[in-house]
Amino acid sequence: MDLMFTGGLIRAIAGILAAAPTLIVGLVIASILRYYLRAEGTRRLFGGESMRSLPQAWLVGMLLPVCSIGVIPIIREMRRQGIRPGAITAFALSAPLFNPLSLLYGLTLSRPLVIIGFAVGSLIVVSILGGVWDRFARREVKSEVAEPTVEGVRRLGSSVVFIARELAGPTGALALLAVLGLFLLGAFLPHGALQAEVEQMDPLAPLKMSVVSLLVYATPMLAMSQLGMMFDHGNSPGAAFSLLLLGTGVNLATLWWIRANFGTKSTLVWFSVLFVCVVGIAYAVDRPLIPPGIEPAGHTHAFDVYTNPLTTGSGVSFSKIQETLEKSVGLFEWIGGGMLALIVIFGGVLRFGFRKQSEALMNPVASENDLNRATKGIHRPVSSRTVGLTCLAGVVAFSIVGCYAYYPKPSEVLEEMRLARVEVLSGAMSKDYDRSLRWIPILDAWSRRLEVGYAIRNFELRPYQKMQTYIMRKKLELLEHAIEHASEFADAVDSGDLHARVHLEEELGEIDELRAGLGKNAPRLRNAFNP
Amino acid sequence: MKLTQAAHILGCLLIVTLAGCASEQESLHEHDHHEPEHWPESMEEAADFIAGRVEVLNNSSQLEGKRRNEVTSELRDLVEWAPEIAADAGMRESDWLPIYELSEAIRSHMQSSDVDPNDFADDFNKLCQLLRTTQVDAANN
Repeated sequence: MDLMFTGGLIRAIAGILAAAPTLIVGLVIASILRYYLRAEGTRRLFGGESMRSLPQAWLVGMLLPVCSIGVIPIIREMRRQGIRPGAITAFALSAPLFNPLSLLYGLTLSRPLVIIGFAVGSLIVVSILGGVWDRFARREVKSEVAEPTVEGVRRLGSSVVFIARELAGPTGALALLAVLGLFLLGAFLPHGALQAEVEQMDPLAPLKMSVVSLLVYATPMLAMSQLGMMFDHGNSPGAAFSLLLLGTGVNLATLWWIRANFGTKSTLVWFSVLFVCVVGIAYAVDRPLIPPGIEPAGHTHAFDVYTNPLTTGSGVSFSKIQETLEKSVGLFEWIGGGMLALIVIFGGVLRFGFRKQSEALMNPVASENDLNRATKGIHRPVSSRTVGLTCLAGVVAFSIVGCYAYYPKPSEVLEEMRLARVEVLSGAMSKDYDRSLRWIPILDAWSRRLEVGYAIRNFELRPYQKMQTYIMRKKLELLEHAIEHASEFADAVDSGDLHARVHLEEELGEIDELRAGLGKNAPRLRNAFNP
Repeated sequence: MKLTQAAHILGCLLIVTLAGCASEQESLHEHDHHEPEHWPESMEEAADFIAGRVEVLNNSSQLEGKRRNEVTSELRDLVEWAPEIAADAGMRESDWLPIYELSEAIRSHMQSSDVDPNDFADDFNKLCQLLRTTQVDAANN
């Protein structure tokens, strides 16, 4: 029971930390909708009552860098401003699927046509779903709370108060509900339980993945990397589509929020239509999208991140939790988590210590002094909509600029890969296998960033380059397996199993061969990406 | 039974089912990457394997349907693997590209219809020749 609880807790904490950066972005976007675009501007942004509202909401979702937790404050604000239900769910489903960063990453993972096909598939799903559901879901009466009218620094202050209170209130609670799914999966699914459940020729693979995905929370980048692993291992493309739509697009909090706002009956209709559409499209694309030339591996490690990170026999302690988290959480997520904690504390103080004052700050009304100040000196009145759209365009632009920072130029990446490769190979040679195992996923991740970094700067990624990075990742995975086997056999030899010695020698030979292969691959990569 | 109660029970059943059906991976060997028997170790061997299977299919008048399908499947695999074998052997990009393009062309032909080696005999021969004769660039190793 300790093992189950601890495993689930580790997954939940990692989930919150992964969500932190895009949750903050989601809160900022919600405040822009509330204080800058306001009701009229928000309605125009999402297509109003017109036919184009569904594809327009889908497109806006594709551009904004939020996950299925980060989308929560935005859809709460959309609901408050009376946006039609179909547009809300179109946005809620599409926003977590893709953003400029994850789309670029995805285009290097598989044939671009597959990723584009998935994006179009998501548009079909949200259009059908939105159209059906608009007939069932009740509309919100426009909020009676007066729209804030101040401008300038006061409006900025109101945004900050809103963000903090929202995070220490409904959005924070819903975020915890979202990661409850991860807790349940991590607690109840033993280590490695999902490795062989999504095979190419398994007719149930898309359905199984659809069911598991209901509890999953995944960031767009994680989902893309899992898609890549699934295609590399020749797993079911239909299962990959299900993971993308249901695992990335929806989580327990989304379902809870929809039920709370639109009632159980219409939620069941919404969910049934979504599930049937996703599973139907998943089965439709399962055979046609099988990547050519890839031998099905019979397993995948893509979903180990959802199962219990601890194996039977692992000790349960604080240091074990810390060690496991350090392996799966990057610096960016730790920083995001720290910022989130500060905002929650600030929001808690506002909510419980200065409740009335903070509510007044959230809904200020312009005074004569504000209006006078707005036209003095160099100040000129600019419409809220202009400021709001500029802010949103800035968020999109920032995410595009962020791509160039997150995916550095090839020469920088090759240097990082050289350092990581040294750790992997020297660890393998000196039998410091923990070091190798720690650095293998890092080197693998850098190889993906090498491809994207090259592609966004040169607008091409040649087949030879893709082949060399594929070969490197294949050898890395084989090395990882060989090291794990060698460790297993070494333990068996230590406990007196003499037959294991033969197998141990075989694995050590395999490790040496793969070390040599990775060493030879290095100059080929360098020549391919940085001639 | 109320709708919310039914939803709760379904949710619990889902979790229990997931837990009941799942089992911990007992050994790392459960999911080994098993190399197929017809995986070639070198470009030379890849060329020999391809030529051998083309010859078997050419003389296939007595070949049973099942065996013919096996040979065809192996031939398809070998054609798909050829670019990987060549790239891993250290071939320069300019020399590798003809092997890749030819492999893609043969692969798409094979996907669209039953393979009759006579239809693609020239292509298979050319691929084998490229695999045997293209030099590996020492600077790439």
